[in-house]
Amino acid sequence: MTHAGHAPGTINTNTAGNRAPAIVRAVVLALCLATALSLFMKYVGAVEYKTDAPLAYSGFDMVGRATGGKSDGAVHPMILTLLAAVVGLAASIIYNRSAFLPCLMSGAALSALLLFRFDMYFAEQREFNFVSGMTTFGAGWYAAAACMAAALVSTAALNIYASRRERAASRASVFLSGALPEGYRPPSIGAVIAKDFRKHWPVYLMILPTLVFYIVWCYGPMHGIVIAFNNFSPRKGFWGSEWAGLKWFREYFRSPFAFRTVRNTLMINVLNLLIGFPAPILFALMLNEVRGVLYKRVVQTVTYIPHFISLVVLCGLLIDFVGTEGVVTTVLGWFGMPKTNLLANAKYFRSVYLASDIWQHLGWNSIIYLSALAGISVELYEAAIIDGAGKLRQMWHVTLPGITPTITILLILQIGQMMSVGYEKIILLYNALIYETADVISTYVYRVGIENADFSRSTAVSLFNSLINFSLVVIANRVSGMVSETSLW
Amino acid sequence: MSAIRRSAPERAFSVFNYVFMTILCVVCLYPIWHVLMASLSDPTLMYAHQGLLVWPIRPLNTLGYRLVMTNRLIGSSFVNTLVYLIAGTLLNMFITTMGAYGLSRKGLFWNGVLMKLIVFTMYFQGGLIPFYLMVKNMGLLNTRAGIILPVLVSTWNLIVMRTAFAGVSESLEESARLDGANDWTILWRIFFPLSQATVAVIALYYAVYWWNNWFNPSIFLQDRGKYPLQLLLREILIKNDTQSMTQSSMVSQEQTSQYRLLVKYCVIIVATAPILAVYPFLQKYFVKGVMIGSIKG
Repeated sequence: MTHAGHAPGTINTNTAGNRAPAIVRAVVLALCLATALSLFMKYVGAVEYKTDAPLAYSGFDMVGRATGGKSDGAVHPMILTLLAAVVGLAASIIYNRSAFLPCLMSGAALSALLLFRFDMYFAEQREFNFVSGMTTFGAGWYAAAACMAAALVSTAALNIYASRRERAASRASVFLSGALPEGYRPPSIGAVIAKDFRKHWPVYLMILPTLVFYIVWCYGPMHGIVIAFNNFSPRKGFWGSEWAGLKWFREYFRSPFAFRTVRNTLMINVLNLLIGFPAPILFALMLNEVRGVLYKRVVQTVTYIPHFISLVVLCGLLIDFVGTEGVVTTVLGWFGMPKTNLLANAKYFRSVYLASDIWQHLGWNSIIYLSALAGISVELYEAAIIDGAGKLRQMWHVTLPGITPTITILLILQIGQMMSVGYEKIILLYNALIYETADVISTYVYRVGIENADFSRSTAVSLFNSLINFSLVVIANRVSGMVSETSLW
Repeated sequence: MSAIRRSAPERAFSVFNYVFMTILCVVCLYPIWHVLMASLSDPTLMYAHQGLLVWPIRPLNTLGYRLVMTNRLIGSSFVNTLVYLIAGTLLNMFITTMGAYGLSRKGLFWNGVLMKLIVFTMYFQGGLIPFYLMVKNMGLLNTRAGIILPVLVSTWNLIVMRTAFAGVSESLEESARLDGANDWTILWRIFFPLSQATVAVIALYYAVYWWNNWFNPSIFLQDRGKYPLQLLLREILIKNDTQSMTQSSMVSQEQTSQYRLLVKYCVIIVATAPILAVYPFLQKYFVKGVMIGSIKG
């Protein structure tokens, strides 16, 4: 959130003031995302390659036949990617600016581009020829690369300029206030770090276990992502395995699974967004109209109960209840539904999944809305009544605006999770009969990786999933920040 | 409310509202009631029964419960869950509290960077397989440590706790420092007790995680003796593996398939009863937790 202004006369430490305008940042970000995506799709197989082209890269020839990796002894292309990502991260931290993401993304995309070229070069084991490279990649690549470079350079330049200006201003104001003698030189960064550590080492010691946890269990697995780009064999290790370039991505996108899993993931999420998300809001609004205090509390307590049933038990119950002779099937039979096992029929899976989700979390998810509703001032309602507003108009003009910020925040969170369905539940519920509608990206990752031990393929698919997810969070947050001043960070 | 006369549509809505809420309550409670009644019914008649069940089908039968209660695997997995829950939650709380305290301190050079790196992991992870391989490479497959160590800190909980600590008044800390207290004392004697509500909620969240935990154990454990309850439940309820239950001198061969169903219902009740028993006492903390979680970190 940005603060619009600051008290006059104080040192400007508010970084927001120096940022590029929101629209510029949004355009840079969109440009980066679009080019990254187009590069990715181009490489991954949306574009046809000439089969007689002489070049072989990524350990694969132009039609995807394996030629055997030949990148031994060379600089691993992946290192370049990681290096660029680290540089982007470091730059954004040092300058502490919101250009973090553009920097990171353009850095990563640029290095991906480098990766292709180096990859080709090493696969060929011959002198790199700029002209042949030019014609192979075509103008599109260079346009994309130019966009990336422009984005990177311009954001970096903007940041450096803003940071210089700010530091100069703050130094000037310190000198003007007379607190420091003329000729004072600020301590070096090393001195600052050393002094900070001497003063605060007990606190750092307390952070240490947390830090170790994050390094080992969150950042540790990240270097394992490299196996998405090679033919991982446990014997050779993460970095020693044969390089495969984007083989696994290409295979995934050319397999029927890609369409099916992406469609199912989106379908379940969109349905959840359209039906599952408004349900607790509606419930809260209705419960808010109940006048008996005791009755209201009873309803609340009872509707929270399903939330406390563990997932495994819930799925066990569900499998039993929607079986051919289960309770739910029987009740639906009264209304003319055919009696079949709902979980053995692909067309019912989404409904079963969604309905059980709503059943379990309806009451619980309404808590937050109920408290937001309770926070709306009674005076607003009184004023509305005096103005002659009926119940519906009160709801539209008082109640809904009152809970809109809550809804917005939860909506952003929800959209951020668009591509990560609750896979645990699906793994518990689905079976081979209903993969057609039930198989989502994360269950595919689980099946391929854990059940078939096809580690590289699984990691590639999950990397694709997390990248999409990450972009969705960022986009949702940006959009919301622009539209309504409510954002997550 | 009788002071304001309500119009006919409003009254109609009110009636509809009450009816709807009542139906909703029935729908929320019925499945649990059904299972409870079924678990007490006669297995042979229950096997043939279909549809709703309001009262147990007589003769009442408690053999299912006896089978479940005397089963060694159920007992050991219950103990395992308790071990994971207690050890896990204590370790979680210890590390999260210290980390949150440290990260909530102002004026530390590295804190901004560290927070960014930590928040980043909420949005981007290595993925399932690299995580699995990490556990494997550290030799933690099929060990209890392999279940607990990889989930020592939950980022969300850390952020919530940090927010709570950042809200504690600075003057308290200053006066404690004047009295010679160091960071360790300040944390456990001042911050920890002052943030009791948040601490309780976070502990509860961790405990709930451990109670429901089945996924990581399912990929890391082979030894059934280390299974937590939920993983065993998955075998019984989802994979339909009730062999170990019905292979008992109390059940004859012909009755096995009938007892299978009964055992399932009994297991559900046994596994859910503890939670439902403590739920009324903890409800206010859970509700508070939703509120605390909604404050952004």
